[in-house]
Amino acid sequence: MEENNLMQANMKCLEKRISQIHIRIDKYVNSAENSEKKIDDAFADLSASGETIAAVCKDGRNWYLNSRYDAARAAKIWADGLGEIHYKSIFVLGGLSNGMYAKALLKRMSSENILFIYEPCTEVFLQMSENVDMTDLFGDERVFLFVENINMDNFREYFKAIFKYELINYSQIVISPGYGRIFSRQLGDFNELCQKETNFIQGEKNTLVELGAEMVDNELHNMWSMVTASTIDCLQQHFYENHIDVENIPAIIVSAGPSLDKNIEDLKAAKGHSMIIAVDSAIRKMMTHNIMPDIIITIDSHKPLVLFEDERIKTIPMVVCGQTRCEIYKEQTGPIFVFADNMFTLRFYQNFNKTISTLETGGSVANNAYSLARFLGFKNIILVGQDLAFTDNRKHASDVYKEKEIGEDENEKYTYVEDMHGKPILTYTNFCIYKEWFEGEIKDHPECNVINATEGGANIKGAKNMKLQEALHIYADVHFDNSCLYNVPYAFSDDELGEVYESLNNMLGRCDELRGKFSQGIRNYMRFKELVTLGKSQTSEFRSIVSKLKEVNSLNQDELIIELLSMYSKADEYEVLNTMYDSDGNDAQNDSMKAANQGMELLSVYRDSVETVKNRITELIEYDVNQDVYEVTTYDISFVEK
Amino acid sequence: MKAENIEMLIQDIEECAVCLYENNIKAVQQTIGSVVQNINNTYLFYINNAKEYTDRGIEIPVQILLSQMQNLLEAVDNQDIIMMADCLWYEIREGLLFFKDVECEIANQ
Repeated sequence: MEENNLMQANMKCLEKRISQIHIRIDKYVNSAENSEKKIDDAFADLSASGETIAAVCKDGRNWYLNSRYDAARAAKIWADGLGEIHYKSIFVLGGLSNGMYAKALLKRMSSENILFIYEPCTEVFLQMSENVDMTDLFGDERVFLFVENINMDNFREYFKAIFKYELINYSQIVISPGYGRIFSRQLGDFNELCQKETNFIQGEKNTLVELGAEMVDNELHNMWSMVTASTIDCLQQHFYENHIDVENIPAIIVSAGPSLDKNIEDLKAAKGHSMIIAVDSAIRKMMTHNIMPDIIITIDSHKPLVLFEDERIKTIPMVVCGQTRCEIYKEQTGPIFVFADNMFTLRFYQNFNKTISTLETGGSVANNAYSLARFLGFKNIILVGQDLAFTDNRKHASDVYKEKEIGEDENEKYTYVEDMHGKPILTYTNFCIYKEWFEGEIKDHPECNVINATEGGANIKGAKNMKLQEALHIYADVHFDNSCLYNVPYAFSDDELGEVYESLNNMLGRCDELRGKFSQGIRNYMRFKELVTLGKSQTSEFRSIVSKLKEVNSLNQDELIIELLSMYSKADEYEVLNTMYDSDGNDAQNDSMKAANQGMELLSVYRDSVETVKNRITELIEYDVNQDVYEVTTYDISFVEK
Repeated sequence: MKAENIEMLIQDIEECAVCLYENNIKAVQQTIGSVVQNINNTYLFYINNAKEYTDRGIEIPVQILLSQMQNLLEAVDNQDIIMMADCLWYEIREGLLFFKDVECEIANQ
């Protein structure tokens, strides 16, 4: 694609923010189905004031996305009409247009605000990039641009990374004038996407509040088992070096939905012709039918051990994380591959320059399994047992769980979704979230071919529905040797494990230092309040106190242990953070006192958690590491027959 | 037509236009119908009485008024809020300011 100077300049700015922007644009422009619509539907024009403005031709009519008289004035009116802007707000703007609305909004925003821009019309983005200098907009660090057909696959990742639970109430979706009328469907879908992601953040918060302390316990109990294993990155690299044909070999994800009863026997034909990934709930049933998956994935710290009773399971390669039930780790003799499920694990490995990736999820282990298949590069992914609904009025396949029947006492947990035949089928609201996650993934990653061979249950939009036999006939006419799952190098060498051990010991000492810093921080806040009350906020002592408080408050960015403290005390932390950014705006002294009180509360919460976390780390070193240290240097891996 | 009435209509139009530029559809939903009706009535008054004003030495630009009304109605029909806002602020408002001057001039005569 020939580029004019403006386009070049705009793209140079975007290169730093959107990876492979040129490739993404070229892919869009060159794709056959879009070539007719390349630029025709959108065009640039001039306003009466000489500004370049955006317009689209739709249904035989020209629709202008900016004022045809004075676009800058109109944009200012729009931005001023948004009212007071909280300094922490995150705005999600639907409609880039010629960039003027975004620029007018940015002028009103502080350095801490964030602006997500969603452009539903790729052609508008391309036309405006060719005709308008938007380098100041694209280069603004507060701005994150997402364009339909270009980089929407990154949106959810950025949303999750930037939206914190405590900022949701200060954030809003706003629409550029004109876009609501012309792009109502796209904006409706986008709004729904934002809602789903927000619900997910809410769900995560609820989980952390309820289980945060338990998660820290699990993480530390499992830590040594994790560092003495391989990561999913090691496995990915191993696949790459051994030229595993992930383009053609399908990955089959086996879940424990009721429909698994119908076609489990058909899975036997898949063995040796696909990589079979079993979620933990499906394992028992598979063992009953003597079907050995190539890999198991298990995450839930509450998973009943009865699912893992069969001795053969211990030898099957397993994908786990910090939250996996620790008894499972300990019993496993087959290869273990770990992934990061929280910032502590990520940062812990990063401290040793080790990569450990995450596996995106919508909350179900089957979602993680799908992410694993994508992570390893599989392009054909077959879902089996993925009912995500109560097929034939059952929740799971037989031999999985002894579970409660569908009943009125659980009514508030149920909802209806569409089944494969377009009819309503009952399901859990949680299952609906998992299903929507799959649908979002399928939409964001069209390079993956997803086949739903469940033969029942909810319809997963975007997945091809077919019988398992047919799916195997089409996609499993290849050979897969699962020996590639063995002999995968570990993440840490023996020498590096020595450094890990030292690091864990250092964390104990650091706990005591942090406790001291938090206590001092609380004393500094008290002095801060005294000085504000006495009207001495212009003194050098005040400035020195503020500087020390900034230091203690920036600890969480640098200090690994605070990730654990934060997880441990999530309920208390949220209580403080929920009102952290409230301000009545008019009384600076009041605001200062309030901020100081909240700061003291937060530091107290962390200080009170230090002792517990320190005890957990001590247990980790004494019971897990020290017992294993001898074995580290003589780690013997025995593999079972495939 | 009285200059005060025209002035009130101008204020209504300005409020509507600003709300439309703000993308605040809810704020105009209740009033846009009556505003458009009032504009219609005012414009038709001047179009129908153009000859009388011409006799007084005041040229009423009938074609321009008709074109402005057409633009406004097209914008309303298509729910094109940017076109509506532009039309109200830069065309209709200007037209009404002209009529207000005309009425003031006549009142002073």
